[in-house]
Formats: sequence, structure tokens, C-alpha cells
Amino acid sequence: MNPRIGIFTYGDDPHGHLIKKKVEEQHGAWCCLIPCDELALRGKLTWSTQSGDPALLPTVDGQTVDVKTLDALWYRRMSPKQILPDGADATYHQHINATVERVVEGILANEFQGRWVSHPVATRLAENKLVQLRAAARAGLRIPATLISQDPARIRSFCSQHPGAIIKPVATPRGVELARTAVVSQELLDSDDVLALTPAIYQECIPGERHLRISVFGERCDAALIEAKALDWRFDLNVPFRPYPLDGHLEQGLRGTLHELRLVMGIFDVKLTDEGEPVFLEVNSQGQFLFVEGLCGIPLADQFAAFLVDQVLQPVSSRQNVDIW
Amino acid sequence: MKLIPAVFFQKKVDGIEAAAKTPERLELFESELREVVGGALRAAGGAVRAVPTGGPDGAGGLTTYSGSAGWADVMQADDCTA
Repeated sequence: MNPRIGIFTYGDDPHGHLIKKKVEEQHGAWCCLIPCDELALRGKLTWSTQSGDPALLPTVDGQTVDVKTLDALWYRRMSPKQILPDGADATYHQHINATVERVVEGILANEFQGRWVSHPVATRLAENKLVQLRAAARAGLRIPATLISQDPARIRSFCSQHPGAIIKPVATPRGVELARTAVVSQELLDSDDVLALTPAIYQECIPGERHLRISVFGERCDAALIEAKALDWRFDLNVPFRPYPLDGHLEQGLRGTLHELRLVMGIFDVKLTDEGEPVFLEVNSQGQFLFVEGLCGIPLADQFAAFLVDQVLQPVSSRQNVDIW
Repeated sequence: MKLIPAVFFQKKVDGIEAAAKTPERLELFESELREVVGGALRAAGGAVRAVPTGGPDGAGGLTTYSGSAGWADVMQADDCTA
């Protein structure tokens, strides 16, 4: 059987294009990229009640794919905003966005019978920091003491109990300025109007300079150790990155967290205390991983392509496809 | 204008910091990726729209991605649906 794999992501997503190429060249599988932000632009979205009719999504190469024929679907990105064709009346942009999103949701829910990587509902829920903290704790991982609030009195009380507490956003929409993790300042604690504007994550600071970025694809875990003084290492990558072996207990906790969240992959951020104890910070259900390969040579793209092809051989469990729609 | 708490630190304490330089090995990796999938991307983009140029793609290159800072972009928001 020649596996047929779909990748649902932005039309210009390098992760998507690279994995498509590897799936095709290294595994001889058929693979298409469905450009989630260009669906209105490319057209051809089609579904009908006739059982013999195809359920069509446009692909990046100008063709269409019948969702019923796909064996696995890497659901990497879903765009809330469609690129419109020249001359389209911007008045209707929101209408078009909502319509396309609803039609795609319906096509996938009704017609895709293959293996999700990962299921859209599970993916969306797992992006919720509140949900994933609980899941990690249930899986046996240590999590930092955390308060998510917009109540100035509660925030001040939490920060007085956890000197040096940090703050980070609950969500980061695509295209907006990234907020870096920072220590909560007294100036912020004195600013009721800022604290009350929106909830944020206030968290016990985990001391240490050793961070782990761990890619978990199915059963496989690959970790990179990042040695950085900064609380948020993402803003300066000129720090040591190297492959890091994980102990079985941590691997079990990571896989257990994915199981709790009904995900089949996840990119974890973990910090090691000065004593070497791993502390879960967050999991990104469709996190970036190519930069880790670039910085320390772990062949993550090859591994992910193999994982994706292997998904075709996995049973489509009822839990993955029925329970959560 | 009111700030949200999560960016208060950046705006009030740090101000705007200059972006750190991309590590050389990551730049090299990105250029290799361009060789590997550049053609496919150009073909895909060229079919429907002009490829924008001159944007901050993290490697000083020619292509700007929608909301992305580069080929091996760590700064892109990790969320699937955000």
C-alpha cells in the first residue's frame, strides 16, 4: 500500500514543505500540502451528501485532494484568516473566514477516516495552558505553582508567596508581538489597571540555567539541552544547544502528558532545577522543531517524516476519532 | 494606552531591545533548507501570489512568511489555531 498523507498548514510553511519532500523521497509515500490560509484564494472546496462524491480540499500544487482517500493528516496549522483574491470586497473578509473554517471543519469531521496528527479538537484544547498544566501533573510531572488571574489582590498575594515569580501570556496569537517570560516587577504589581486588563500566567520561578526542548513523536523522545541564563531562551539562540539523554521516568511523564491530552506528538519546554529535577513548563501541540535540528544536529525532520508514515500503519482508534468531535 | 500585563516588562523596563543575531550554524542550516525546498515553495507561492521580498525572515533572505520570522523559526507562535 502506498500511504497517502496530507499536511494541513500555511502555504508557505517551511516545516510543511520540508516534511512533504522527505515523506515523498525517503518513504515513497504520496503527500500533499493543503494551504490552510489560501483555501478561499485557491477555491474548489466541495462536499455533498452524495456518498459517492469526493470531499475536496485544494492543495498547494494547484490540484485537489479527496479527504476520504488520505491515510494520515498532519494537522499542523489552521488559519483563522484567509488570503483573499485581488478585488475581493474586504467587507466580507470575516464572513469568508468563518465560512471556510466551518466548511473545512465539516469536511474533516465527516469524511477523514485516517490517522490524525493530532486531532483538531485535542490540539485546540491542549493549547490551553490551564489544561496542559493539569495534564502534566496527572502524568506525574512536577509543575510550577501557578496563578492565572486578573485580580490584582490575588496576584500580589501569589507573588508575595513566591518571590521572584515570573509572568507570561496565556496565549500568543499569530502575528502579534511575542511577550517574553519575565520576572514580575514591583512596578507591575503596583499597576492595578494593567493587572486587571487581562489574565496572565503568574508562576513560581524555577531557578537554573538548563532548559530542555523535547520533541515527542509517538513513543520517541529527543531532547536538546539549552544552557542559558535568560529565563526565556528563545530571544537569543547564541547559547549552547546539545542533544541530551532523558531518563525513563521523564520520558514516561512526557508520553503520559500527551496521552492525557489525546495528542500523538508534542514539543515540550522543561527546565532542570539546580539539583537536576525536571519541571514541566509547557507543551506545544504543534511546536516548532526545525531550529533544534539546525542548532544541535538531531535529525528531527527525518524522524518526523518516518513517524508520519508510520502513523498510517497504526490503528485508527475510536478514541481518537469519535469521542472528541 | 493600557498595556497588557505580559508585555509590561518589555515596554516599561526594557524598552525595545535589539534582536540577537541569528547563530551562524542556524543561518547555514536555513540556507541548506532553502536549497532543499526552495523550489517547491516558489512554485507553490508563484501560482497564486507574488512572493514578498525583503522581509525580516531571520536569515537576511528574500522571503517573508505569514507571521513567521524564518525557515527554522523559533519565534513563530507555537499554537496551531491561534
